[in-house]
Amino acid sequence: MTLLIQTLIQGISLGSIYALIALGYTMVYGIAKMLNFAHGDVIMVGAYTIYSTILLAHFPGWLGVISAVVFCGVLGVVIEFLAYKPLRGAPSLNVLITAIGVSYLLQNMALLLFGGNQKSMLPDSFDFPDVKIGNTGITVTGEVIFTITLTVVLMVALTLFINKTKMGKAMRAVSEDKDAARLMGINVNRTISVTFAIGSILAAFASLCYGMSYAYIKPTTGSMPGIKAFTAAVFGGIGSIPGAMLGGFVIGILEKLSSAYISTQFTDAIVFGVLIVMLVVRPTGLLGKKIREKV
Amino acid sequence: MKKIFSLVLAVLMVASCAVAFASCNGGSKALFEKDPEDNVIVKIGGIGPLTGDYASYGNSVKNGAQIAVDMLNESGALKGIKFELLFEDSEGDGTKAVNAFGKLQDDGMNVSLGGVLSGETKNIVASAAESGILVLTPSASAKDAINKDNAFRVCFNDPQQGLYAAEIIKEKGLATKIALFYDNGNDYCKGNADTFKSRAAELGLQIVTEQTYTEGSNTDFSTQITAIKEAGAELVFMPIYYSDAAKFLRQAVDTLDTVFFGVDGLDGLIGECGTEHASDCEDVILLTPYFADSVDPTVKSFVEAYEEKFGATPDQFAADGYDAVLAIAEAIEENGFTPDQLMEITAEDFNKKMVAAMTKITVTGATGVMTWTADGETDKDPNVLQIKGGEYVEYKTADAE
Repeated sequence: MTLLIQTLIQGISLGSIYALIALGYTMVYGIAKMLNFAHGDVIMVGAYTIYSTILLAHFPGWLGVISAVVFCGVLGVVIEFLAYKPLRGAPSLNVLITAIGVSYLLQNMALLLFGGNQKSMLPDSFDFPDVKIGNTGITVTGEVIFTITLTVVLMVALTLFINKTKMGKAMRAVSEDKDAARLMGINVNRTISVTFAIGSILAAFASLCYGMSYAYIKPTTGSMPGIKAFTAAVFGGIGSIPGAMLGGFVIGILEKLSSAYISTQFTDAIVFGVLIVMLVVRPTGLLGKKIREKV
Repeated sequence: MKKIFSLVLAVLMVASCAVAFASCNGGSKALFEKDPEDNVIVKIGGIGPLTGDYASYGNSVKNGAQIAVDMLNESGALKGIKFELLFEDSEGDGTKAVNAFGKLQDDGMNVSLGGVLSGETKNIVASAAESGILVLTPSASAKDAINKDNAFRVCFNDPQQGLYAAEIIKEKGLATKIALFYDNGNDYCKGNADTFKSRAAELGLQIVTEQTYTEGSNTDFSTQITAIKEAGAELVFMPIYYSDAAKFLRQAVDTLDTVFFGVDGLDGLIGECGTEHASDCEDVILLTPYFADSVDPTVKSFVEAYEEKFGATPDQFAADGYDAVLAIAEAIEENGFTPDQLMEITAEDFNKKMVAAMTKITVTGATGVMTWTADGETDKDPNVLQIKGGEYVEYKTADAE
């Protein structure tokens, strides 16, 4: 029983990180109708930004987080402007290949700047106290509590932003019908830029959680969480924001349960296997909308 | 226009092939080259990861070997014979290592240092079997990494380390309930874990849980840590590399209050934990044939030279690299080669004689006094070390103090 609860807590924590990243995938897909495969590497950039500010330049911790949020936000907009905007009318395959190119560009830039060896992202002082639950033997680490809390706060904020603000309304409109939105006087390009910025800011927070849980980073740090989060986004229904949140948690819990009860070797096979089953049974994902094909 | 161009290209290709053949069949080219001062240059070719996850090992071996080369050249121990170290980056990848081996052969390598990691060395040894060149790997420890007659190693093999580890745990009374934690996609880790398991069973040590991971899942160890805790282990035996060990310890130290015990792959852990996470690796115990604070004169002179040149304390891989070069020099001395003989000898003859000498020599190096058996294994005693305050100290049991 203890093992089950402990595993579920770890799963929710891991799922929170996936959910934060998956939100970036799903928002960009919903609005720009493209898969931004460079998104995973934005996490890596965020991680190195925090590392540079805190450990190399010795600024206080909060400044490290702020600089990562700002830098990633700007980076998201710049990537969109330089790499994707010129391809706005092009076939989606071109954009996909470009995204993969951007992903490698970011990884290799990090390799050039920081080298291939793994680096400790945060100083030891960045450690939250663990919480022991009564005498059940269950320990919840401070990082887990922080990660889950931060994710919930960010999700509530994002939901409010999308449902209550004018920009949120514009995003929903663009996602539903880009041309109609343009005719209604919505600045589509600006809306897309803002979407990229928000997605990348969420990735920066994900990098903070990643660094607190796993401590060490390297230039390929973003790829695996990126792929898992993409899986989560598809699982939940790509384009759907609640779907990405749900998908993140489901994938995280599934991964932890299968590694605890089945095998640590086959975890990834099981996770991706479930994705395949999902795509066969329900191609639109858990909360995805059925889109009627216009003929 | 296109036709003419392709014709020219074809002619060029044929010409270049002819040149290549001519240089191969000429045979007049001597095996060795001479430097301006008329010394014969013996080229030692090393391959190892200089970048990437295992970069610390490759760079240490390279630097250690360089120290030995410099020392031998300065002292003039072998009259009229100088050494040169060529070193190629493999990034820890077997295919790249084979390519690097080919490049070194083109560059005129006379003796090979094999690879630094077990996997890449296996590939290099396979490529080297054809020419019969002496391969002396400093650090490839998997049992089958040197499965050819011309291959030898300076370090222990994995079964040896796993055996010693089980024996030392039993002898020092460190624990009776042991958890195994290793990367089971890695030859080195799995090799050590397997022999540890069988030896532990013979010694009556109980393995309460066996937790594994793979290269693709070496980020989140929380499941394994929970399982180790649930199993009530007193000691975690982790025959893994330092980069994974640093990540594992970071996540484990808060939850587990066990003893952490590893083998020579943990060498480099102190640097990896750095000042940020120095407390993670405190009290970790590891087995290694070498340690820098030894009072042995050979070790001392090596450590001093290394610190002066590279500004860092040499780890075990550096010592292995150093000893490999010393052994090569010893093998040349054993054969009594003079510079003139070397200028006339054929590659086949030289390789044969070097390989034959390996089983006859005794080398006093930084990793102890070594002799070699015909199957390429070395014989020497390991030290049991513990990390205390960011340094290695000889491990002492509580009642011995």
